[in-house]
Amino acid sequence: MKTNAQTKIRPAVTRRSFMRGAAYGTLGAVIGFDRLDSLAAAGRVAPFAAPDPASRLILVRDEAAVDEGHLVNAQVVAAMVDRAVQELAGETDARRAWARFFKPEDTVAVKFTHCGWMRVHTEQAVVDAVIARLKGLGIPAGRIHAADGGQPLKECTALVNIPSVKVHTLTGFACSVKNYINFTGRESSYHGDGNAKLADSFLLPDIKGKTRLIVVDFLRPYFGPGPQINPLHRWDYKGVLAGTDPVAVDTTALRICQVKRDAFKGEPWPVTPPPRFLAAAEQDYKLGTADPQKIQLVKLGWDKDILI
Amino acid sequence: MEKRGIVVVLIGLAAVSRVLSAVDETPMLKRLLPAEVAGWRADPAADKAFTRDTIFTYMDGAGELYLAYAFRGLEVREYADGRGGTIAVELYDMGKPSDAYGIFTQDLDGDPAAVGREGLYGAGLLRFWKGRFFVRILADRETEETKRVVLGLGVLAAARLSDEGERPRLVAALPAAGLEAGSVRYFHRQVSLNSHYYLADDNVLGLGETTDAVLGTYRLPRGKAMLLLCKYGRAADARQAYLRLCEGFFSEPCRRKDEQHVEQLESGETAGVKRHGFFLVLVLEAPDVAACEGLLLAAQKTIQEVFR
Repeated sequence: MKTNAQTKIRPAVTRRSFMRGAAYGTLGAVIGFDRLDSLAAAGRVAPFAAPDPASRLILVRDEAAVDEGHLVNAQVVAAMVDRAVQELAGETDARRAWARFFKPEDTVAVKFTHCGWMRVHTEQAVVDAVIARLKGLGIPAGRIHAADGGQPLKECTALVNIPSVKVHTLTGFACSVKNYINFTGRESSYHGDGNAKLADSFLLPDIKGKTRLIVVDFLRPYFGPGPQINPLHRWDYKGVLAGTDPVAVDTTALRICQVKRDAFKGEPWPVTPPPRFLAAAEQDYKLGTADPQKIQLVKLGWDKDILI
Repeated sequence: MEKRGIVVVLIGLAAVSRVLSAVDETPMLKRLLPAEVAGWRADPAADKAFTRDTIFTYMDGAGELYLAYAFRGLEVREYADGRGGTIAVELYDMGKPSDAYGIFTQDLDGDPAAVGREGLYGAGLLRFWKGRFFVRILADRETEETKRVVLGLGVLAAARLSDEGERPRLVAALPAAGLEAGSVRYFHRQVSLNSHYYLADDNVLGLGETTDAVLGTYRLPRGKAMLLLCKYGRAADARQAYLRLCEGFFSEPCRRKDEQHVEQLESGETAGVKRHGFFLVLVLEAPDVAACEGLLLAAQKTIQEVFR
């Protein structure tokens, strides 16, 4: 016989749940259903500036990373990646910084985003910079598997997650959490209603606990409604974001895209559908924090139109 | 006798139509566009074609938005200038003009372009709809030359698409006063609504293949409001949607007698709903009760005018 608790109908989650702060934790605030300022006023610290953070992220921007014709400068990007990883590791030397995350005996899957039809893929300059540093640690090329999927994950002892950034028509947002969707073999099942379970991929036996570093290609993110690219909705942010917490990384990247959307329209333009997977990744999968008050974002380099 | 004559003519026309469609199985792109335009060349033999079953092989992660309409097929061609530049042409057979218009309204950012029934151009991307077709033409890089070629390809293709097609009738039911240009979206399913405006996780409106829905933004004397009109296959379905909204979205008891409810939300905005025959009228984010009720009433009047 069913108890009352078992037969109780699940309360509908609606736009109003976000307004009341009754759904998906702090996600509503990040995408503008509530003001982040009010969170800060009610809490202890300003968003993305936690003095004693649960997650620390490094954002490096360089005006020379992308030129006026949207061409990426690989040399500048490599230096940005190094600077981000050094700051994250607390090292002044790039090699020592990377050695904090990887060892010469590692077999590494470098997971980038290749989205040919959408054209918002991880820039080759970022992929090359990461591979060069892995090789520099003494990891032979044969044990570095850089691809958008299909790596021999069972053999891999470590993963580097290097996604691009885009607002996504079906999941709300695509960055480091969604980047592993190709490992599931059931991509479509995570779109629409299934997006809350996107973090499943991080718990796959051959993946769980192996992600050592996230380096987000934030050079030319996409903030539009999709489903396909509209070049009007892509901008040269010229950034690289590094961290180890995929939830904090995605929350921060989402916030930047949200601010950009609002600026583009000149009024609130919330990311839709809400990327429920972020709240689930925090609350159900315990992958990290989506609370802007528990994240410390270190900002280095070019700060014009930084949006956060 | 006269009746018999009409039947014979109709049978004859159907037979001719079958013969014609059987004769001309040339893919649409080959019929619409030449292999070379202003020095940009394509290899028509390399054109690709996709169906409802294979669209995900072309756009994994976005096909759902097309499948939410009566999408039948997609043809893709790429032109190249021999210097590294490319222009991609995508021709979507949306099954019927209303759905070509619908997918066109998925993203309305861009400058008006006099191509097809309605066209938009921005940053190297042209989109237009005509008849049952939706066309996207995208240059990998915008220059004066690529803009000229992209628009030229669009004009060529549009000129050879003989059917004009009409906007869905429901669109005319949006009251004209205050309606923001470029805000109208036409769709059938929840996945489309959620990509424009997040209302709820669940399909509280009961949207589906047989429902038509149109969303518009209104500029009012004291702010803005959204108006959503849904047309159901049966009045009973509209009533069910009204009741579901009352239960899942509104917190005060809804009026059952005249099936209209208006409520001020915790955000300070006002929302209201009215069931009217086969239709559901929903006002969201209105600045006050009077504005909300005014829009509900105006929508009922236009529905009566358009669908009498």
